[in-house]
Amino acid sequence: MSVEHDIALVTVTKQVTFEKMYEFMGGLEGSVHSNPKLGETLGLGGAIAQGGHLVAFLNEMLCRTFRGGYGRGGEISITFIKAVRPGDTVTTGGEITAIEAEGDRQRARLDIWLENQTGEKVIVGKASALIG
Amino acid sequence: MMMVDMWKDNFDGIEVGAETASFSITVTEAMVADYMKTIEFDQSWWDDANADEAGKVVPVDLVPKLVMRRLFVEYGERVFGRHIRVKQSYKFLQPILVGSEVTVTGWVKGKYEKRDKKFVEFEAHYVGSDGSLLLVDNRTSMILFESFKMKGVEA
Repeated sequence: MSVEHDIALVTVTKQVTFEKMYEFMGGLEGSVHSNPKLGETLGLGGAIAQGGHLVAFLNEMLCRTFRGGYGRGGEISITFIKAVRPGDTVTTGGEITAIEAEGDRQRARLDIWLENQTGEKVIVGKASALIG
Repeated sequence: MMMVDMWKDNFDGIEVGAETASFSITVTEAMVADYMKTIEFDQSWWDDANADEAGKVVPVDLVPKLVMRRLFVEYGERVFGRHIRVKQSYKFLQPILVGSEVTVTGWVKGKYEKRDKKFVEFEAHYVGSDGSLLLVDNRTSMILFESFKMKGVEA
């Protein structure tokens, strides 16, 4: 359920490449995020993007939108529901569902998600941040 | 590269409450720069967190990224084999500043089975040099057993 507000969510879109996945892992070879053969062996169908790599995009959206109100008092809780693979393009999204009083400030609560280039949600969850 | 027994199937051996690791890390400007480049973000998102701290606050998820392998992955590979993250939550209580020392401690918070899959819950606390709690990190990993047949990564 959305609520009336004047907060403009700053969504971000990123292309996920194998090179970026490898770089995110710091060149570590023994990971399903940087070694396609290992991903195959483990039944993952190849290399998949690391969860932290994808959460970073949601954190970027929330930090761009709420600035210090996210870094000091923000919360995020998400579930990974579909793998992201090299070549995928992902876009963050969100909807503010509540604005609540918290001391002398307000807290925004949101449903958030990350979706791939076909519109499938790959991450869903909730977040909150302080306003003002 | 350390050889890992990928198929340990040691769910019963996972001890709830066991500490996974505890150590300290100091974040440098170079770490911040490397991370920003990796996630393709070239604008300081933290520069208005507090006037006194402008330009010194590190990206919110940088330290969890830096410590993840040592804090959770190595423990998992040592005790129950390969695993992938299926849930993640963070509470960002206080910003972490460049040059500050952060002590991280992780432990096994729980474990459960659901729809023929096995999961381990971890929690970690990130504490500043003054003892203040900076960040709470909760994550759930799904264990990759040999009989596991992936049809998309679905928890």
